[in-house]
Amino acid sequence: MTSTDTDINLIENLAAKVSRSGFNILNDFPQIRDESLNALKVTGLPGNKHEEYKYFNVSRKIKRDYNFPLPAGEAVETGWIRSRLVDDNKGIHIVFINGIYSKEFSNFDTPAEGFEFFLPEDSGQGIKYILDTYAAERQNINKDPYLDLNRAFPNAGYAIRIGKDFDSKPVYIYHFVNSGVQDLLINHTGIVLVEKDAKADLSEIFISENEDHHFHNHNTELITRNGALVNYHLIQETGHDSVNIQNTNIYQSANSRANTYTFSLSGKDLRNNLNILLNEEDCESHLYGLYFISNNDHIDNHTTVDHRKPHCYSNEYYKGIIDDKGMGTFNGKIYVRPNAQKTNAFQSNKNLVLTDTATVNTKPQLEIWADDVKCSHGATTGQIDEEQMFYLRSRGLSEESAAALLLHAFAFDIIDRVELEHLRKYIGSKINSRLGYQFSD
Amino acid sequence: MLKIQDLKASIEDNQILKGINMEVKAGEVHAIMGPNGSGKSTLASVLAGREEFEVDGGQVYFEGEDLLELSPEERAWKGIFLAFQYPVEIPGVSTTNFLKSAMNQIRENNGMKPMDSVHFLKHIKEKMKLVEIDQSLLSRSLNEGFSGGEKKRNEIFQMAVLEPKLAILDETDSGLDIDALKIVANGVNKLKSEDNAVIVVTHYQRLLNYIVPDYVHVLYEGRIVKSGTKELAHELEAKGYDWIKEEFNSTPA
Repeated sequence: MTSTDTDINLIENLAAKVSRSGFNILNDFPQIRDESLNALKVTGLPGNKHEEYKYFNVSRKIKRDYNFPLPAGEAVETGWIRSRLVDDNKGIHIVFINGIYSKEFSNFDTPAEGFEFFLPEDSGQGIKYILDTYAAERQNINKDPYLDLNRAFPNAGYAIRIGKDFDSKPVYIYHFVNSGVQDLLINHTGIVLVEKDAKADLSEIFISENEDHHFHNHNTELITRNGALVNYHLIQETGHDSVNIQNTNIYQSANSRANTYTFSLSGKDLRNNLNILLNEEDCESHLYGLYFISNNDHIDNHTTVDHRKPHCYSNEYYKGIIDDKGMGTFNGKIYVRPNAQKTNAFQSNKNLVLTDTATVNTKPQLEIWADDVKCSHGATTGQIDEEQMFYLRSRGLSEESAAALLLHAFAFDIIDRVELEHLRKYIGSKINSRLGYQFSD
Repeated sequence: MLKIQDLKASIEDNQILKGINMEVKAGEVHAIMGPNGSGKSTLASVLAGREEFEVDGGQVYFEGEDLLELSPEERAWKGIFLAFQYPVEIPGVSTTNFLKSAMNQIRENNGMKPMDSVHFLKHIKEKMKLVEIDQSLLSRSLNEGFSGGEKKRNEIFQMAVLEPKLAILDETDSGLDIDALKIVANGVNKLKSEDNAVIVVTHYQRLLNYIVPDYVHVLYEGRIVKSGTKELAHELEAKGYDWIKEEFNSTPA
């Protein structure tokens, strides 16, 4: 893979603008930026010949003349935003609009016990500690061109530290893009440090009202210390001319547990690279995913679970519903390194296609170098079960309500695993209203 | 109530029903017996509207209306119920979960008001007693991990809740021990009235000791080759089906 003229043009254009973009979370790490920029110049952005981007080729949609988020930009229409927040009074709500932190909509005024939140312009020991920890922990695990793009031209972002004394309030981070913003490129990085024995419920929610083209290229780096428990939820509900690439790296220490929940509801081009590194012994990780895609939307989930040490457990369960001309891809890699004995690693992907024009590509990949392990994987793709449909209809349910009931059951197999009640309802009601589901439970 | 005239049906170009004629009046119990592969379950499926079967000829009228034109749910709304031979398992959907909606869609399509939750709960509690079924079973995923007997009992429970005009029991006795058989039969008998009718499809006479039919029809090679009263069932039990086959094969069609 080599860069094209278009890539070089893009890089030059972005480089000319980058000085205007102000602070970013990687300010103190020029070497990360340089390393990524150099890589990007060599590789360019991936086309469909790139094995990892075979089904996700947005390189032709990439504009040359992107705009970075500008704090002093035009007035932002915000009437709709409050209604899109999760209805959770106890939660910490952190809101970014068009890539810019919104003090107005965030409710994080007074620091909570055991919880610290920093923007790039912040200084002092608190943010330095998080960034130094990250710099030490960071590994160049995935050579991804879009991650290079993110790191080469970073704008804004945030850093969070959650300590053991935090009272486990849910933390919701919203990334809104509102209407009328042309060709916006957001390269955010969020760095989250969850300290020893701490518990964190973290959600990252991407919503755009904007039907104009924009490119949200987000990277979340999550470090879980010994004995920490993290539930990380990702919800994507973006516009039909948007590109939303979410890279998530989770670095797990001994006895930590990380559960990820990925809900992809809409967006022209959605791509999730989720990388879990089980760096020490006795880690546990659950990866749940639900994608429900219609129109011409495209979701591409790439996950990697890297078992590097013995006695770790991982379980991955992704389900997809593909409607209209939608396309879904699931590519799940499990690595079990030579000394990662007594590994338990499971993976399952189930898909329902609702039309003749919907497509699914599913590719489980297991690479196992250790011999004393339990691993399994499986993938299915099919249509709504005719026998189940006939059964329900013969009892008096209309065809529509029978289908809604079956799809509801399929989807809630994942949704019901979300432990946060407010969030479970938030996602559940979106799914139910799309299905026209009107059953009482 | 139900009039079947020269009904012919096939699956994948294989003709199974070759001209069925029968009439069921309100208040009657009809048994359809016959050896394996004679078309008993096909007849039950065609009446309920299973789409894999192609109707090649004939008519079926239910209360004067052309039944074959109706979708499975429209048939349910008219008052037809099929108790499945092999009830499907549906993960994530409980019996109580869908049954209230099913009942209310039936009610709404018959110009009745939907039943509220309180009345519905009372209604199903009554019916639970009738078929001796446990609440915990009804809130579990439909038929998932149910024993054969539990599945069949759940079918009769649903029939009791929906109170159909015409119930078709497709081999409801298969896989049941004698105790479960009695419970199921008892449920059916208690629901029996002058206004409804039952078609019992079975291979064995056993169930008919408990659900006593007014008429017995023997299906063979896609046709009703013999009709009679409950004594015919006893005769079949004693002599098997071979004499029916011989009689049929020696008579020119």
